[in-house]
Amino acid sequence: MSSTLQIKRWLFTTNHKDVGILYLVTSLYFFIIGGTLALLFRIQLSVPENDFLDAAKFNQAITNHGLIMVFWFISPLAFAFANYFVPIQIGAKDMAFPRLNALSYWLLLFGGLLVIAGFFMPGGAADFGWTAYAPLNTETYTPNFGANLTAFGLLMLIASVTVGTVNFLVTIFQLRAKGYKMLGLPMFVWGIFFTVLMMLWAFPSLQAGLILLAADRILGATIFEAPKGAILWDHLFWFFGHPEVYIVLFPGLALALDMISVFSRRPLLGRKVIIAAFGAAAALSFGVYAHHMFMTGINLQYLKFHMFTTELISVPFGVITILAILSMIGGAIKLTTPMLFALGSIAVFIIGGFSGVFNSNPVLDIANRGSYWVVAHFHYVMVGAALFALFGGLYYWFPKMTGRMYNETLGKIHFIVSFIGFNLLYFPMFFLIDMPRRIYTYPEWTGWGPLNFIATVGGFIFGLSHLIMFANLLYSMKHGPRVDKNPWGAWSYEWVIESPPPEYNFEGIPVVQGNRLMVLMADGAKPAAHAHNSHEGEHLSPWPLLISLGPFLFLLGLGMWIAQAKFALPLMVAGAIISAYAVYGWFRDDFYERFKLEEPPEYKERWPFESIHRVKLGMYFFLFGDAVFFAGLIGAYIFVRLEAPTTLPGLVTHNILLGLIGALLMLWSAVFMYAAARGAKLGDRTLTLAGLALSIVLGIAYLVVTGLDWLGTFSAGFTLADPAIATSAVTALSHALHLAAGLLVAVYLLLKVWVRGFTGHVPDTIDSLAVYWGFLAAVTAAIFGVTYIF
Amino acid sequence: MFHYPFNPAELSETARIWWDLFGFYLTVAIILGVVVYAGLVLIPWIYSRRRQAVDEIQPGVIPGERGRMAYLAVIVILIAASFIAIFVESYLAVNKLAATLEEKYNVDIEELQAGEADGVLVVEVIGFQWGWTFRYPNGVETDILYLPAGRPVIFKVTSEDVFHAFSIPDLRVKVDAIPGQVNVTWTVPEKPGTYRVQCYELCGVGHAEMITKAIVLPPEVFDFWYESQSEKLESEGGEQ
Ligand code: HEM
Ligand SMILES: [Cu+2]
Ligand SMILES: [Cu+2]
Repeated sequence: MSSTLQIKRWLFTTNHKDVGILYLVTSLYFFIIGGTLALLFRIQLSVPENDFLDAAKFNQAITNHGLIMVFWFISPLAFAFANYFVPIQIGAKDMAFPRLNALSYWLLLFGGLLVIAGFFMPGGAADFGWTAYAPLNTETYTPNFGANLTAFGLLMLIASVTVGTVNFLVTIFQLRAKGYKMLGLPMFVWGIFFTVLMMLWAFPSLQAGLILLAADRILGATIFEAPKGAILWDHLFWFFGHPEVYIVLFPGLALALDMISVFSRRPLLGRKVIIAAFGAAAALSFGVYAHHMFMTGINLQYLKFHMFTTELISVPFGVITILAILSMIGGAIKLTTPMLFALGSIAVFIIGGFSGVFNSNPVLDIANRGSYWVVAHFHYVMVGAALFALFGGLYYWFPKMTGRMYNETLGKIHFIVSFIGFNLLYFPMFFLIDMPRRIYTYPEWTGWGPLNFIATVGGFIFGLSHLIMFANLLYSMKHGPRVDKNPWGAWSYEWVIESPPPEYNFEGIPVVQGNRLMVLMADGAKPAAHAHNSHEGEHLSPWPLLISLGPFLFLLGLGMWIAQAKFALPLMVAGAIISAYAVYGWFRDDFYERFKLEEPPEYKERWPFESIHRVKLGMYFFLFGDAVFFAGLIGAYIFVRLEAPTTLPGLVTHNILLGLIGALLMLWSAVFMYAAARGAKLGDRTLTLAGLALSIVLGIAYLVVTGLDWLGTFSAGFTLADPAIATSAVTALSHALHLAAGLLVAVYLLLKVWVRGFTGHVPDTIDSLAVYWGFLAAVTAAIFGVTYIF
Repeated sequence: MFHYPFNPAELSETARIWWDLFGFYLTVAIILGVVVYAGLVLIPWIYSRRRQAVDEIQPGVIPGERGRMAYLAVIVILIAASFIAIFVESYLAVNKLAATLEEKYNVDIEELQAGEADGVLVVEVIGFQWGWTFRYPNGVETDILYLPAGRPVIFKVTSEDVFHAFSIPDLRVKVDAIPGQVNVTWTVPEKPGTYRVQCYELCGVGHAEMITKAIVLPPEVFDFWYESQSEKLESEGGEQ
């Protein structure tokens, strides 16, 4: 392949393995950035009263270290493997929505770049900690312009995550090889499955918090500065934040289980119990978050309940750990590098989990909260359990991804050195239980010096040990000995096919019969999509890249514009043009149905969603997540109305009649959208065209009426300074943007049905759009019912 | 000043409650930890030496289900039992934290809220960027916290600007200082001495400097200090 083709391939690819490699490289890149920041502040802390970094730089370093490591390193590393291997492991040729998959990647990359760009803004990057507690996160207390970019970057990340979760859920549910039962899937697929489920419900809460924060920072609202604003942020953040820590953990833990089973040559003990334990922990994770709020003075009964659930959640984790250990009994264990990493991961997870239980009640938390004990706790689980397992995965799958073997001795040295470094780094922190987190320096008389010094030494050992891995893998990629397709004697689908896997994974049709994973070559019946999906071919699409680049430039420009920096406006204009052009391009491709990639459904196992189209299934999942987003916003409104006595009810600030008319318009718009979907099902073009047209007109009318109502509110002198007005305005605006996006798709569908009739997926797309419209109508009703009446 | 794990439980009433619970947790953790780590180290050690064991993983074959229901149930029940033990102990400790004032020191919480309880010192703690103000019932404001030994102290904690966390770690006192709300916590300091007071929530560039002293005085000395402060305040008020 020529080099321009190579460049084109990596920029425009939608192939899941290419996207996986992009994720891998990007996450390791962010690992290096986040790690460098960490070493810098470890130097600062190594001795008392040090002045290597000043307080401002130190705070920026810890904040961005946390954000980058959690959001742009560890999860993306897990999703690098998920992208590469989940489709193969379930017996699919690609993800359900390849272009959306590429879109996830580009949104993630550009979101991360926005956060890093914050360092170059006047005032520097965000410095309020990764938890961004209110009201420190508002403009009054953190005027750094970089903080705006951090909020934008996180919003792009959330967009990436949303698209990704929907994609993985549909893929796992509908693209399994014929005969492949859910319960037979490798643990890693299960880990990713529960991870994306948690992501789907957790991230929208952060999204709601960030949008409200953006209103504070940019539009002059005072939601988080108002009394109880701090508590509101705590709820929104930790409802997301606690599940997030399991989101980080699950893929690695599940992968460790797979590796333990393979290298001890024993099936897992109580597989189903383990899967159930993962499920229980995932479900419980949404009901424990107040353990981060033990000292905030909120309702004691609420805290006791969360203490109970937090301690309860140690049961499933205990079960998983103990079954993993007992599984090895009677095996013929091979202590290869991946196995050592898997065992190391379990070893540190035990300490991490135990120390978590120590935090689980409001009494012990008197000492733990905000101290280095907590820092030790979560690094044992996040860095220890997750990172060790995932790096083990890197060794485990290296021969599959490259067809060559790494150097085993160097791998083992890497494990031993990093394991020692890790424990030197974090174990002393348990003894620093009375040292506060996030202080840039400390007086000599505290006596914290020696332990901090040990930690810094450990930090350097740990950080530098990974150079061994990088060297080993980079060298072996080109010069390692070639290996056959299954060097570990593992069982799952990726080991049945060549190394590296061919472009479509399977040179035939993957089918599971009984408990055997097979690839049938019979009658050459390769899926039709095959011909289109090549690295040079039509499955390359520039739009995922451009649709992410546009908002990146626009938001970068916006951030600079707020800071009154030069070149802000041209950037914003360029960003807007690129975004519009890319959306147009994507629609145009769809209009001519250029991009086709679908495996025939009859080759697939789709339980329990046999008859539902993938677009509609994806829409359902998306809306499940989106519901949490609106619940967060409307919940915030209710919260400020209840907690801040000065806020005014909607009855006073709104024109109820206009509100009611708006709600009815939206309702009718949805009804007509259903009529359009019905027409598409019956093949009645006139009905569909009429339904779409009326729905569009009514939708626009809704926007106009709602706009008028808000104009009235503002001209009556109410401003965003009232948190009730601000939260409801943000809710209405988010809803309007949802509707505007929907209208765009509706106009496109109208044109397509008009010009080309019911071709391709059009009927199913209209059907899904009708679901979306129904959801928007329900949200309208909720907005009217709550923010106008209450 | 002594530090974890050496600062004794006798420094305050809350420290005692904390250390009791911590000791319980630590015992459970060590017992379970020894068992689990023994398994984690010994099993791979033993079974990596045996080579003739059956190989139950075959390429392209989904591994079978292993484990008898009874066996698995026992494991789950054992873990659940340790959970229950931990939960019960924590629950009792939380209640004890809430009830000790009333039971041991006869402090009537309701009277206290009405603002009139005997023998209790109520100190208002106000966090700001970047320091602490301590306000006593007589109106005196200080930036060093003076406390009497052996008497219950109630802290009413708030903040003028951002989210801080007020703590006297050695005495096991901690509560968040949040603008727009007053959080209440308590302790009974027992040993005269000087203790560190510090902020435990990132609050901006001066976070590390939000550090001061709590000086626990013998009751007579404290009373003397308190009276002299009152007089000073009065005479200042008279001059104005
Ligand atoms: C048995 C399991 C666990 C329990 C009972 C537990 C409990 C807790 C509690 C109560 C806290 C709050 C401490 C405080 O702020 O005072 C906490 C903090 C934290 N935990 Fe865990 N945890 C567990 C597992 C995990 C796992 C698996 C992860 C991540 C992979 C994790 C990551 C964190 C993080 C990041 C924080 C600190 C957040 C912050 O303040 O920045 N925990 N944990
Ligand atoms: Cu948590
Ligand atoms: Cu502070």
